[in-house]
Amino acid sequence: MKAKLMTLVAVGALAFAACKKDKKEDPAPTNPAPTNTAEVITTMKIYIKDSITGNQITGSPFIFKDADGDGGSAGGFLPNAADSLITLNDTTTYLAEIILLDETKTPADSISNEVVTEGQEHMFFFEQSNPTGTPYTTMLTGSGVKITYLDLDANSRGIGQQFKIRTYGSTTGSQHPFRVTLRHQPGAKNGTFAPGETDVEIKFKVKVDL
Amino acid sequence: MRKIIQTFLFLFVLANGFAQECNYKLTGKITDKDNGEPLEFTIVSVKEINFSTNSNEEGEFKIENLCAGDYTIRIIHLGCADTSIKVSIAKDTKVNFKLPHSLHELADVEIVERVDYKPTQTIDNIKQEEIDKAKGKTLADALKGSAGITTLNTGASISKPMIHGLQGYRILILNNGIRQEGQQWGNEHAPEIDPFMAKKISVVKGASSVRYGSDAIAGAILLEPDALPDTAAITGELNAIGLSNGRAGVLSGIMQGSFEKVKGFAWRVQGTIKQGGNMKTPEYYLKNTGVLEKNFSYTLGYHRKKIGIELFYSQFNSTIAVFSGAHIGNLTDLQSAFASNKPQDSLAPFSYTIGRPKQEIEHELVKSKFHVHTGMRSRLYVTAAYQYNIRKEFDKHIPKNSSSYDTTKADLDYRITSKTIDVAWEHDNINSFRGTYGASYMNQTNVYLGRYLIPNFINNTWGAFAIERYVKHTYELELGVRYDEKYLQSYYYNKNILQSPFLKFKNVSVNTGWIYKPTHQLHFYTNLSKAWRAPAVNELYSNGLHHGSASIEKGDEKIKQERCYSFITTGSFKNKRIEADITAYSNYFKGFIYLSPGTEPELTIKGAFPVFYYKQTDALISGIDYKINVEFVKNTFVQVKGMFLRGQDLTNKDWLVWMPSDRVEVSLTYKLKDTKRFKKTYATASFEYITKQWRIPQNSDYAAPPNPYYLVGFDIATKIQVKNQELGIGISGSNVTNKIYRDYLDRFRYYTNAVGTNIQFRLNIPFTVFDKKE
Repeated sequence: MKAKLMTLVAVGALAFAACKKDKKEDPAPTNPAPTNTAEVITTMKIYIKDSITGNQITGSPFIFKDADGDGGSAGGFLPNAADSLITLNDTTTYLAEIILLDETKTPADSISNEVVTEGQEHMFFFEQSNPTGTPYTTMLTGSGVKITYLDLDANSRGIGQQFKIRTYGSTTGSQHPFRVTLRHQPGAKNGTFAPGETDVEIKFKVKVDL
Repeated sequence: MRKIIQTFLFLFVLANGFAQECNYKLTGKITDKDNGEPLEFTIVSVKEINFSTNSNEEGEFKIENLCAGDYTIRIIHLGCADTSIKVSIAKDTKVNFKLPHSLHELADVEIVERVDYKPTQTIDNIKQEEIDKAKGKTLADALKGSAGITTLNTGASISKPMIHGLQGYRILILNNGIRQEGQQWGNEHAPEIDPFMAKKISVVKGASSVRYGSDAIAGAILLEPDALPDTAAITGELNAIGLSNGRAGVLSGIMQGSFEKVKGFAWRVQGTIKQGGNMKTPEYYLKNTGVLEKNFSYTLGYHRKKIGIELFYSQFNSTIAVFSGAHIGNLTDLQSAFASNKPQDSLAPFSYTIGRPKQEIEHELVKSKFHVHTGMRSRLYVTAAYQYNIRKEFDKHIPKNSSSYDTTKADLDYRITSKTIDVAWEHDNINSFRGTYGASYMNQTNVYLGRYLIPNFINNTWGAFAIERYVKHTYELELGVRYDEKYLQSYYYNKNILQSPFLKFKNVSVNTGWIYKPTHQLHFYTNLSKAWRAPAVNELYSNGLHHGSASIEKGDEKIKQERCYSFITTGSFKNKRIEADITAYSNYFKGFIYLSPGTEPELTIKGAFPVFYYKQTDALISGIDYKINVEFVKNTFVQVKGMFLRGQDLTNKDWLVWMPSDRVEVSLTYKLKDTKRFKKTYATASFEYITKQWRIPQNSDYAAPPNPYYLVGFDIATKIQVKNQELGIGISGSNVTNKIYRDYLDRFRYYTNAVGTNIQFRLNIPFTVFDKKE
């Protein structure tokens, strides 16, 4: 008897409970959704200026743009799509700032503001290495280029949206990889690269001139 | 062997001969009730002595050396329902049988479930024990009971069946006679079906295009509910299942009845609720791997002598959490996920909460089926169906500018509506010919609301087929031909310009089948067929990033139809102690559509991603499946089941990607004798070994295929007699040694180990609300 009752309850409850659907109005197939409605990051710009003169260096801002986000057409650097070289002088200090944009919106939506606002969930990494010290610093391998985080989140961990670049000549003249990665680490940010997932990853190059 | 049996029989006869008079004869004649024609090749079996013989051309049979006593005589003839009678023998006896050969005198439901019209392909009915053992798991898990069937998994809760290494569009699923139409193209899109609805699950291996539609290159999966009741009673059953891994619970009920006063009407209601939480690998829980499912269906049938109509409605609602560790940002993340031996930040305590990322799926089916007898031996069926499928997928994260974002809105949202109509006319034996003729039409519309992955489309398909079979006692020959046309009108944007390509496909499918039955114990099923499939929209137009696999997939609108020439043969042997089925097959593809890795990665703001292009090649997939069950000691059975498969890319002289590796399963079953209280009691222990798939194409994967592994399982069940019902109880376990492993055909193998021990408890309670007979 119990079984009968339970079956009745199960079947009965389902018959009425499960019918919630939102079939309302499916659009006509002839009229597909034109663009992504969700947010995408289309553009990364790195502004670099001399800390003493305050002048933007040659080529700044350094831009990577993928106009339609992931998939679709491939993205590329501007103006030279293949790669972007940042040329720095030796024994100089620069101030740098990263701007992320969603240019599918008009006007373009600044994503970097959101990154800073949600600083406890985000962190930029340079060459994927874990920064050390206070404030956070990273040495780019072999190049003699030192990156210092200039901004802090609410937990006093670096974000890296604003940073200082200092050069003191070791291997001048040759090009070094300069990979900038934005990690999204909700609830897991601890100053290391490992947790979370990648939102942005762009491979620039750095060359230090005498 | 034969000698032993003969000696045994001789001794048996001798032994009996001493005991009593055993020289009586039972003779008789079997005729068609409708036209009085003698029925040859009818099996006449005597249950008590386990003996059977055949009627001759005159419909006559003779059984000698019978002792005095009561016997149960069973008459089996193709196209007729089995008939049993009791005969008391005290002298030479003659009995004549008149069989209602064209079936129309029997309950109409028998015709719907026509037992005789089996395809010439190997058809494997999944055993009830296998279905029971998979209760509460996925539909594909139940199918694994058949040799040659594997699954393509996305974790433990999303599972797609694979027949001989082929899946997706190449397999048709017939849910209650209707071809399931959802978003089959996605590897993480499981069939939207409640397995509890089906009482019988069977797999047709090999090209079944002629009968079921041009896509069924690899085979078909048939799910059929019980026939509606035809006696005045209300009965039902309740299934309660608990699974230890994921702490899942399933409650599924079914009730059916018919009316004494309004003859011919019958009804059924059925419903299932399932909830499960985070699954556990041997070492850790997997964050966000729960599932919630609510399904129900109604059936109403009306049957008179010459007509029948059935209305069916079902709804499937499922919310599946997708393991959050499998949602990654870019290729670097994927590589680091693979480098670390457990997921980085996706370990969590047990929870039933379903968070992002997740899938929400709804499938609705309305069907009406009508049949009428168009003569003594022929029937016409008309089936119309409407299916509506919503698939919503939610990304792991809401966008950073979340203020303007509606979190209830899915990031991917597809709605597909399919309307089908099928007409089939079939006739029973006319001069040993039996056949089916039919036509079908489908109109299908797909729209997307979220992000682009596949386009909007309108798909119109029609086809017509004819099958005739020449049936003799020891052999059957079949020829089937089908013609299909498909019109595909798609709509999508490319660089903000609306594209509306129109494609037309047409071709012929042919099947020749041969069944050879040299003895009643040994049957051969051989088929040669030509099948084809039009490319699907994703193969033509998909263009997007898959977060689960960190790859960009690109369709190619120049892709042509895929053609397959296949040969499949099965030898099936069955006697009292041995049951063996061995299948060998070879499928040669012209223009096999597959995903090929590109040479240059594509640069995006998230880094470089490998690009996979849909391409065509000539391919050869061959293999052998086997299942052998031997009762080597009384009540003790050993079963060996396994498969070998080789998938070759002939054009590029390489292996094909995503092919199942060779595997073998050995199980030992002990069946207890039925007692008054306990029936059908058995205990099974099984050991499965899956080899490493090293036959993979060059540069197609980020990580080497996982190592070989073994799984140990068990199953114990009984039926307890309570009053006049049989209460079913069972307990089974999978991966009971808590083995740590990863499987090549699990898309989550990059991120995590597969799940650990899972113990299933199941209870089946049949009941009668009202029965006129009581």
